[in-house]
Amino acid sequence: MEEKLLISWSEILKQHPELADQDPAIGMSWDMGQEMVFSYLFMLAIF
Amino acid sequence: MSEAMNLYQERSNRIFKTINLEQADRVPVLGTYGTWSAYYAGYTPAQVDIDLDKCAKASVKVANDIPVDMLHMVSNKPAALLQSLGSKSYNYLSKDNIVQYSDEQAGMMSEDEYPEFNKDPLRFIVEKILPRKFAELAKSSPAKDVALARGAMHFAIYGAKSGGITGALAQQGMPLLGDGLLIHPMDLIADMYRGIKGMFGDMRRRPEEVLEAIEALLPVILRFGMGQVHMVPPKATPKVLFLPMHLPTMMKLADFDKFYWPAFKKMMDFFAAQNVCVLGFYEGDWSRYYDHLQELPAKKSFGWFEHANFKEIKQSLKDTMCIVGLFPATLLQYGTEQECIAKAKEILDIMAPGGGYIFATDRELIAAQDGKSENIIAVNKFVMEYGIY
Repeated sequence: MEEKLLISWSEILKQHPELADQDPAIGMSWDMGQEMVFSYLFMLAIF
Repeated sequence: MSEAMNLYQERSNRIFKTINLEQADRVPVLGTYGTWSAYYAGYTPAQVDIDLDKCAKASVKVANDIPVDMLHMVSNKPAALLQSLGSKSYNYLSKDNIVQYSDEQAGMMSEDEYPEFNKDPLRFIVEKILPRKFAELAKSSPAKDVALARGAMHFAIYGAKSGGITGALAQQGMPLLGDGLLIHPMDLIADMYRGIKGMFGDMRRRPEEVLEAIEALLPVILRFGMGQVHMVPPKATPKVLFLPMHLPTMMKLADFDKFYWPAFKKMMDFFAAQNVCVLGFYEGDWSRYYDHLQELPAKKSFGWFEHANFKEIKQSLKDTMCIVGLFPATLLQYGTEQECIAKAKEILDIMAPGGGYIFATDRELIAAQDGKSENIIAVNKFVMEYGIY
């Protein structure tokens, strides 16, 4: 099986549907370090 | 509470009450001064990109000198990050100018690569696109690994410095509107990977692959948006993501319906459900799409419009979204103070009654000559007095 680069947002929501309704203002509980890596890579993609 | 914090709260409430289609104490004024701010403070855009402390000084000077309720965003690009990775798209030819974008680099993906892209867009971007965009990432290991790590350091510094600028503005009582950036999947593919010309050809020759690409990229972009939302410190008001759009006014209505609208509607519905407010920049003339926009969740997004018939847009969208913009920036450049004020009065007479309108220019000011500061100050002062309810 091919190694996954990062877990997709949709997969996170599948595993944790309770997050879909969570107020973003109070922050989320998933791994923020992984989100920062994702943001870095995607920022490179749009610049 | 300090005087600055009171001012911050008052301005923020005025803006968000208006976004919620309520009538505030007066028409709010949004500063949309982009890289014009750098010139106004005596720098060039390249200088504020390279030295974010200069960017902070320019932003604070604008906040102190120009009467506004909020700045839409701090305009800069992460020069250190782009330069350290050897960007082929953005070039800093001189510190005395603005960053140059090379459209030659827009075609970074060939038309026969859609199937691979559609299978896993993020993997394709990391493995194929990034080495084509950045010279340092095309080298072999360990050079490319070190470059990627070096870029990550610059990314972290950029984030920290940007947060510092937001804090410096808040100390002056000046809120910032934007918390992050979004892009429609089709615009991203057209702008960066296939080029505008390539995308219009793809819509004719391989429509199913284009539709698959949009659908595959959409969750990645939703995640990008939510990631930015969560990295910004908590706020009393909804977080705001800025969504500039490029293709729609160049498309036929049938193509818009087929390719652009479905993903756009999904994006807007998704962020509305997350209580994230999207500011769409409806570039050009969107009047033929007003019927579509009426389908968006009411009061959950707002729109920065460039060209419109004032009465028509107010009538069409007044129950759906707050309208921002419409004041012609060219008048700030070429008009007299009296002509600028007359146009502002004409807009306010139609757009202000009942609330739901934020005064701003029709587009971001970019070059030094895009607006005379004396005209900007005179118009904003007029709106703050004439726009009292």
